Amino acid sequence: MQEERNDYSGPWMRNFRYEDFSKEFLGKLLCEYGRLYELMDGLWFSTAAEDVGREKAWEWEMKVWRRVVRHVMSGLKKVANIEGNDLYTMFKAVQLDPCYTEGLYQYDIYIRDPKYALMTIYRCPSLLYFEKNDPARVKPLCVDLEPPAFQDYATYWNPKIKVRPLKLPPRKKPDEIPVCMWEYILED
Amino acid sequence: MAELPDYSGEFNPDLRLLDFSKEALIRLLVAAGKLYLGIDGIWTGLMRQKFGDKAAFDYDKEVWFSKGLELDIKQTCDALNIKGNDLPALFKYLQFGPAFAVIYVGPPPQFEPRVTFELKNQKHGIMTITRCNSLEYFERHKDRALQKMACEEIDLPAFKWIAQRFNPKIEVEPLKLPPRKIKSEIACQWEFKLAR
Repeated sequence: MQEERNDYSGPWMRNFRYEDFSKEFLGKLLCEYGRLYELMDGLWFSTAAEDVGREKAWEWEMKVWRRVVRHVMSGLKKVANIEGNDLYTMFKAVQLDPCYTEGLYQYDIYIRDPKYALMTIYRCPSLLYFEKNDPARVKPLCVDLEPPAFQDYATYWNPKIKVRPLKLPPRKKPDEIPVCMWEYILED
Repeated sequence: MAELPDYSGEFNPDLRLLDFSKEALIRLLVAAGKLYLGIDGIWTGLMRQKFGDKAAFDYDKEVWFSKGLELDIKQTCDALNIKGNDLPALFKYLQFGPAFAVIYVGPPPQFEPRVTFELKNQKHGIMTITRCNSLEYFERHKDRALQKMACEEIDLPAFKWIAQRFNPKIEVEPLKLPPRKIKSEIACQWEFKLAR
């Protein structure tokens, strides 16, 4: 068997297979694809905003993210063979969401028991971008969009999972962490 | 620790991508590519509902040609460490195009590529898309308008734009484009030439 490649700097391969590349490389590439996924949405928002204004474009942005949930979750459920409807199941999908792949976000998931969990985000590239380039967007993103979007993710797996933000931006200082914190309760 | 073939087992709070088998990582890679193209599709769909086909397609073209393709090439080539401006470099990028060849593969574990490349020599190559998920979607929904927009108004100029971005002397022409007469036909075929 030929040696695995860690990048594609060598000769072009006619009989190409993704398995010819190392796991480390495939993992790295996956993170880049996650980044592109978010960038594509950002491009749509900024392109639409140039024509119709940021407020209107933001309304559409919210609709897009609430529509995308079922596509993200059903795709991951299938490729990763994730079954179930409890907190553990939901967080398995969160871990594999391309937006949450390693290198983009830094976060911690603490499941205290089957009915209670906390998700803490320490680094958020979207927040960093908006804080630097468009601070007026921080509230619409973090306060208006994310709470219903986080709830949509949970509801996909189980409508009895209720999500509540414990801490949200805007931040008082640029180095304040965590950037946000979420409580998950599986109701009886 | 044994590699995970999927994530049907216990939740692992310290999970790393490298805990998965290579096959599972490739499945995730395909899924991420589909979501990347998928979010573009959701935006286009929303705009079609609000403003109709023409405005929506104009937006979509603007998204891809203003910065979308540039970012796609940069992120992919940086991650792959692809350098150079010849046909092999361009084909290497296209083999990993996240909204393109990566999602046009057969089922695991083979992930048989449905985009094939033939480099006849350093100045002449042929790319063939044997099966195209997008075309099959358009055919299934009888959405000729979206098919025409995707194949003729985005893909055709996009392949030309991408080739030019690698090397202004690379010329691209379609040898075959949809619509197809029968489902067993290939989806499309493209010729790349490095001009003298």
